[in-house]
Amino acid sequence: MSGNNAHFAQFIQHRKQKNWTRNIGDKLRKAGVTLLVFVFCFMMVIPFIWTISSSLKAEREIFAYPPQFFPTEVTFDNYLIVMGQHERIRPQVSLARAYWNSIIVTIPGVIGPLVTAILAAYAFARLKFPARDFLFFLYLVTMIVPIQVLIVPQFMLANALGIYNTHWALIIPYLSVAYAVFLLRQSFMSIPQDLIDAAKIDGAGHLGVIRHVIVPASSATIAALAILLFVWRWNDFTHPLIMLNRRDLYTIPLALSALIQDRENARTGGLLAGTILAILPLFVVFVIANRQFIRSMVHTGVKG
Amino acid sequence: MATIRPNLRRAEIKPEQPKRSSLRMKDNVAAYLLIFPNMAVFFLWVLLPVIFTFFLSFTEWNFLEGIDNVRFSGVDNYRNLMDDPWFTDSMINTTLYTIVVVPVTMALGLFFALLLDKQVYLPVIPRILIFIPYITSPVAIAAIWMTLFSPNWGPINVFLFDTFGIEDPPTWFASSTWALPALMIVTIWKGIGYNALIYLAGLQSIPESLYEVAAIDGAGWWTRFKSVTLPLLSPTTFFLGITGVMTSFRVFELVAVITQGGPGTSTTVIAYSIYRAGFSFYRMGYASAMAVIMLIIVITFTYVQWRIQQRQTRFMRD
Repeated sequence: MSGNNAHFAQFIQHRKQKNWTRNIGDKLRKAGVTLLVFVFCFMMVIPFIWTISSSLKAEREIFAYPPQFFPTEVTFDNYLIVMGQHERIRPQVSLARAYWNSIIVTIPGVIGPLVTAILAAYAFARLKFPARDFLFFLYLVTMIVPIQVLIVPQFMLANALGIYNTHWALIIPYLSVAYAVFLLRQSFMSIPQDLIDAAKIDGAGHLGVIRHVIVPASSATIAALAILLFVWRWNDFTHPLIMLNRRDLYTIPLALSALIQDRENARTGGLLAGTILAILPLFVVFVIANRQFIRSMVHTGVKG
Repeated sequence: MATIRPNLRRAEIKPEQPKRSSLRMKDNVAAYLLIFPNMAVFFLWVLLPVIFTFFLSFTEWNFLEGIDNVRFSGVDNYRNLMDDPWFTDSMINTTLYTIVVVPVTMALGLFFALLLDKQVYLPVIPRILIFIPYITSPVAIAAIWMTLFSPNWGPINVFLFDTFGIEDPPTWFASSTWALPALMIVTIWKGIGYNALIYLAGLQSIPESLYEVAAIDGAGWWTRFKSVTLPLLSPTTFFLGITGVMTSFRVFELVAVITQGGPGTSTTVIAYSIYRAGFSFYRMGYASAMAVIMLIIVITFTYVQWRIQQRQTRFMRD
């Protein structure tokens, strides 16, 4: 009996060992695959790594031959130059100013269209009124119109309204984003009528229903939309390009393009440092909220 | 029954009617008030400009001469477009660019999607890495690649020299032959992450059982890929193809920042030619004529895509 038991124990031991070796094998395999995938995906960001590394080099080292990937001595001069803090080298635009400009157009550029789109999408999704479907159809049709088709009349309009060369020209047009209305309407239509009726019985008006029922129930879509709007506004180049020609009003993309034209003063190092500074805020938000970012860009089915 | 019911209903409704219609009225006012902020900006900033573009395209007008000097010129603008290399070359370049960029980005996106579909440790890191180029501002990307493609001792030419011994590498953005291919390379690199993650979502929706069945039939990796993965990804491929063409057709920022359409007209694209006519030469009527053509192409394309989708859904319903 006992011999039999010992035999059994031995068998179990053997099985465990086999399992263990198999586990190790699986883990090694998985580690190998991980390494392969990481190497391939890492290749995609080599241009960024090179840019960071070169932005910390002295100017003559950037295009040195034989090339060296890392700086021999780390210097922050290039960053001081583009932020307008260097004592000798002053490019025509300072990114410090552009940061501020980008922030003050991006905040209303995200909140503004969200608010107007929530109100409009609620009406389109939940209320019946004359010409509703026709008006919504207009939104849908104009969604495919490329921005470049409209730059001439929009520029003239901004001139006529007296907002050309002000930040208003970057804020007011974006109070209406057709895509936002479209996306929110889809989401609002899926909210059960019972929830809305319950709020109405409690005495809520339209605004009350929006605040207490619609917005909480669609918070995921609203968050996704906020991310999209943030990326669009922060990276927007075309609109500022036609609406602004005063350097002190430039947003980050426009200031960066001015640095590209101003290579003599900014130099390659300054340009690369400026590039890193331009990317940094969006990059930080992306790494923190990468899941939400990817979800909002992949699952709303829209290209930035 | 059938004759009674309408009467009954009418009898029921009648006394309520005044109250109801005033309520309806109030509801309508509320609805219009809710859409007003968005609608007002929409009409002013989108709809009005679309109409105005059509009008302007039949005029000859230099912005610097003021609004009083708008001169009606019939279809002159459209006739002149055909002899203007900035327009004809922009059409050729945009088409070439689209034909190369869209399929290559999709193929590489699919390759990366297959990689990302593997079981790995820390799966979030490769996804972040691959998506970074996509969310980066086109101007920043322009700045990076202008430096990388720098003809004199730029890292790419140094690499070509050191690794392949190419002593006479292209001057890239300074060369009328290589500028457009270089722009294509940058665009493809930027778009891979988006395509990969869309394909990944498609891959993950394919039921595992189909692969198991294929494996039982003795299908190898390539056969499984060809007869299970690719066909089941075809809706994703269709979507990426359509959005890809639409985005490529609008390409503007990279061209405006890196090459300004040059050298010569070798990299001008339709969106850039519109900008150049309007904002470098202030020929607003002429720029509008190009814009109308661009709009017609986009609308045609959208219509064709819509028809294909309609047919597909009908096919699936049958």
